[in-house]
Parts: sequence; structure tokens; C-alpha cells
Amino acid sequence: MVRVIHEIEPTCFEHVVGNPKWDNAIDEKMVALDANATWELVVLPKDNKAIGCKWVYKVKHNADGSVSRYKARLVAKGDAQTYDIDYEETYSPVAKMTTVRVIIVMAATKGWSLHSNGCKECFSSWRFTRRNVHGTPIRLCGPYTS
Amino acid sequence: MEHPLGYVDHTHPNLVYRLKKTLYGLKQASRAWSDKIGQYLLTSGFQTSNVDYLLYVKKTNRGIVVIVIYVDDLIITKDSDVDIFDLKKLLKQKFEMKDLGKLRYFFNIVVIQSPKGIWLLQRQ
Repeated sequence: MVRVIHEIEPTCFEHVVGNPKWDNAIDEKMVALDANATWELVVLPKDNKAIGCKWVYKVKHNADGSVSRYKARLVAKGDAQTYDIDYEETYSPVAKMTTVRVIIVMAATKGWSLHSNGCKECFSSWRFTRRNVHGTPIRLCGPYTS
Repeated sequence: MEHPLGYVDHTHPNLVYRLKKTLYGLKQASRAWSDKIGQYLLTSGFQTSNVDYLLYVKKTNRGIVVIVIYVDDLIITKDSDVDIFDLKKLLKQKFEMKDLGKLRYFFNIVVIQSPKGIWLLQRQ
């Protein structure tokens, strides 16, 4: 039998504050973000508005269903960001379906195996992409040469 | 950004967090990630395709390695003689990526790999 009783992940700060395991998770994350030089404390420039942020709580489980870790993630409320003021170009790294299909066909005909690598933390703690003088992103892709 | 709950400093209410690096939820986050991983792959000898910038190919003397980026997932395939152990190790170190082993699931499609071929299932 597998134990399927999962601890409920809290959704708001008021429910976790004072609870040592979640307080720890939050402290741990803050220390990591600080150590990572994620931010600096500055005086809010006049006529600017700071965006909000919130904590998201996750309970990590071991394969046997027992709790392995309490994790807190700090999420910025990006929906409050305004195009042209807070950000310019957005981009979602999604390969074309045709590309994926071709790769799968190649693998099938050549007898290659397909592997997968996932990333849970991939959207945090990267330096913002630098831009050139025209405000357009610096293109990183070089041409493919055979 | 405002002070995170639990770290609200009432003695300095005029101070805010100026972000130097991305956080989850920011509009810039996915771009910063794809630029970073792309840059890394290019410096490690991969070349990107003109047709799809999220397709990366590296030619080695033992064969080729192909990587397709799909948001936070990488699909990797290669000539059977090429060893990608080091590549996976570096991806783990640099990007905290998890080696999910053989591709089994991708964008709502179940992938079954067998010596006879590759099956793709869209059954939920």
C-alpha cells in the first residue's frame, strides 16, 4: 500500500506565519536570494510604483510519500508590469512542433534514444538580458553552418 | 519590488527591492532563461539552426548531439556512440537541471521508445 495522504500546500502567508517549518522555508529562500545578489535595496524613485510579490508554498515528497522538504518560492507579480515601461519584448522558448517531429523521426529511423532534461528553477536568478543602444535585445543566435 | 511578506521593514517604508536578477513571474524571466541556456550551448560547441533557434546541434567526431528547447524542458537525442554524460552533468551544475532519463512525456504527448520504434500517444 502507498500512503497517499498529502499535506495540503498553504496558499496564503497568514496561514503559514508562525509555523516553524514554513518560516524556515521562507528564511532559507530569502538567504539564497540575498546570497545570489538578486536585488539591492534602493529608495523608490518618485512617481514609480513597486510591483508586488508573493510566496508560493510547496511540499516536496519522497518516493514513499513521506515529506522530504518544505519549499517556499518568491514570485513577482509580473501581471502588474507594463509593456514599454517595465519590459520590452517577451519571448517564450518554445521549439516549433515541426522541429520536434523531425527530431523524433530522425531518432526513430536512426535508432537513437530520446532523453529529457527538466528544470524547476530555470526562470529565476538570471541576469536580465542586456540590450543594445536601440533597446533591442542582443541576438545570441549565430547561423548554423554545416 | 515591494518587501516580501515576513521581511517587511516598517522602519524603512521608502526602500524597495531593485531586482538585478529575474524572479519567477516576471515578464523577462523566460527570455533571460532562454538567452542564458542558448549562450551556454553556443559556447560549448553547439550551433543553432536558421530554421528554429531552439534547435541546437553539435557535431563531434563520434557523431552528432541534438538539443531541442521546449520552455523548461530539453529534449536531447544523439548518435549512440556519443557520450553525453558530461553534458548532463554540466547542465545539472549550471542550471540545476534534472536528468529525467528517457523521454516519456512531452507537451501532453506520451512517448514510448522501444527497439521497434517510437510511439507517440495523445490519449489523456
